[in-house]
Amino acid sequence: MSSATLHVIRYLATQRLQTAAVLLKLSQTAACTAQAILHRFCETQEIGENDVSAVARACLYLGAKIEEDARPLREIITVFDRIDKRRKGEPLELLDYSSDEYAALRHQTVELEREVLCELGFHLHCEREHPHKLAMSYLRVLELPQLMQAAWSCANDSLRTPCCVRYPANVVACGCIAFAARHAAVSLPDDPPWWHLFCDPETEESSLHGVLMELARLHAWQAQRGAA
Amino acid sequence: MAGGASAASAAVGGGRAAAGAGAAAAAGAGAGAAAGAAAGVSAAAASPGALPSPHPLSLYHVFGRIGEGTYGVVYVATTLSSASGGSASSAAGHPPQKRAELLAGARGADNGAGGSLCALPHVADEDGAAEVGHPRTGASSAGTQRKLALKLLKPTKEFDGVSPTAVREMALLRELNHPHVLRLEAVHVHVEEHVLCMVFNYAEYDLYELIRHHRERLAKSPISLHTVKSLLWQVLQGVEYLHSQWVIHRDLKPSNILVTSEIALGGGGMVKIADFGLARIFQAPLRPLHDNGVVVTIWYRAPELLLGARHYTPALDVWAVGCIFAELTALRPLFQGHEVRRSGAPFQKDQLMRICELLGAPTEEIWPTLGHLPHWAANDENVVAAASEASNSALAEARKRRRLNASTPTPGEPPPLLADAAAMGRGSSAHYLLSKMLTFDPSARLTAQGALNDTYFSLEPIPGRNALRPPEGTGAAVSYPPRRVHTEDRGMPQSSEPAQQQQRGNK
Repeated sequence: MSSATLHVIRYLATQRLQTAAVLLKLSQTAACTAQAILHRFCETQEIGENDVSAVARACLYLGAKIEEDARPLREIITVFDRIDKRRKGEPLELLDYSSDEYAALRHQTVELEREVLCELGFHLHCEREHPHKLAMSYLRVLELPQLMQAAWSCANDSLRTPCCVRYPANVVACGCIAFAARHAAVSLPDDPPWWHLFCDPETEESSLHGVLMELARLHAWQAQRGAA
Repeated sequence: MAGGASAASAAVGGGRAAAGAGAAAAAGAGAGAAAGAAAGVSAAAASPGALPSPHPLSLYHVFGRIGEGTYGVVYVATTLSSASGGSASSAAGHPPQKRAELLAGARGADNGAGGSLCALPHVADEDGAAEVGHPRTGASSAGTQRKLALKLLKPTKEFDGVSPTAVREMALLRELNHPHVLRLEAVHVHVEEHVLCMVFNYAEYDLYELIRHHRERLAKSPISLHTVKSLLWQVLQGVEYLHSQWVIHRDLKPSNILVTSEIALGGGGMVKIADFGLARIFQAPLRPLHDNGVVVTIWYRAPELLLGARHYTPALDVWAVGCIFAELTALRPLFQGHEVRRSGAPFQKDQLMRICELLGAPTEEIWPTLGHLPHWAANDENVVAAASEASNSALAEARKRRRLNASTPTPGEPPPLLADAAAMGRGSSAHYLLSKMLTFDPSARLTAQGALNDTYFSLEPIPGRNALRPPEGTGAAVSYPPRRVHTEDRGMPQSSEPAQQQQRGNK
């Protein structure tokens, strides 16, 4: 599969996951952790377009548990089923919990959850550090509170991209700030460059560029989908 | 990959990127398995000493059951010869896809051969005939098998995937590495059977059994001062490490503090803190910690929890360690309250009264935030008056029995009744340390680090690395009975006693 397709698969999976998290009234932390898990899983497993919902479902189920915001499996399956039906334009009928279809979904989710746990080697606490709070404290240092909302949204967006598995959280946080500032046409201190405060100037500049590329790529994809 | 995917196998890498990379390399082992996943899962294949196949337990030579609770069952076992690779699996009578793949050798590649059970050399073959020493113990120990404890989690009733408790315990244990924290060696996941099995190093004793042995078998002869001090020292070292890693254990009690026997790898008489089912990370908690329901077995529960505190702090572990300290010296639990068993989180008044009897009633003077604690503020069950009442009547009782010389406890001195209850000399360094660990105000309570720096530990006898072996020339070591292993009734259904009693009874 081409790298572009792989990216799109991740976008779709994380989008469905995020939508479900909102519908389930899950904390954003749970959603972010679930997305980070999904990206880690995608690093090793090739996911076809038909598996997107299944993987997103299992990751969200697990992420909610890790962040102590667990939801019954039935609720998670119901919400994902509704999202899928809406996407396909099918009538929004509730799943019949005694049906074979429901039993199969349940079985699939439980198995996938285990598979994800295995793939991650049960290392589940390493994605606890999300870029959000770093971005907020950096903006406080930079005295740019007006960028906080936009940077927060970018931080959420960054979890839709593979940034969380490729770059450290401090670099991702800086990327979010830079991206938010660009959109708001706010200039950031240039001399010395502001991000030298939060990232290593020697080694992390290319990573910072990488984060910005990923964010731009996501936004381009979304704009294109919006237009289509 | 959706649907009938079988067990995947993952070598353990280091950080987030490595975890992925390692898994890719090892994925081959499980890759061919998907096809056969749906068929014949329950096909019986007799395997000596193991539960019905295909099962994680069939990867080990299981001796018997050593404990059970609501979470599942704990078995003691040694490794089989066939713990590596597909050919060995076939030899054991199971097609590879039916076997639980070994998922996570616990500590990564830096451990050399010991890191993953896959890499273990044969300890005993299927029939237990050949025995080869473990690489770490060297050739001289040929014949000593490396014992393991297998914690087999019950499949959840509602078929609801891995329980949040198990997820939490495994995730934490994967990150922890300390000589006084029980090491997670491996995790087996069997995808089709929904079986989850955690593999730990085996520890022969636990404090509950040690204390019981002295109380019931040795006519209440006290545990030697050296042993008490060493055990406490090691427990505090472990707790201090957990707290430095931002982990609160939340369920410390004697049956969760294991001690290794002489033949154990890494040395005998070593404390191993176990059972992290309730432990959690307390760094930047976004949700109030009390949302998980109230925790900590009631006898070891800190007063702030009894009074309905909503945020947990490491101080509650220190309280529990204090209670364990007193239990080691007095051979019986320090605060044996009657538990109110009701749904929700009922106010455990009796437990709090036991505490007040020995320590006096708390006041806002010694505990400034007392007024903010729900049960105290609402004066539930008239707790404020009852606390002073309990404290005063305990003092009066003691005076009647002429155990108390002073008419009132002196401020600044540790509570005298505490020394009596804990069988410590009044005003001894142990008494002082205990009273500082059992301070009402959690923010004023000694930290684990503070306790380790206490003068108690710098006085003779100095705590040792082997808690069960006294220093040269100070008498013989007590020999404790090994853990009881139930071999006959392995298939019996689990009893439905309350969890707390079960745990105590079986550990």
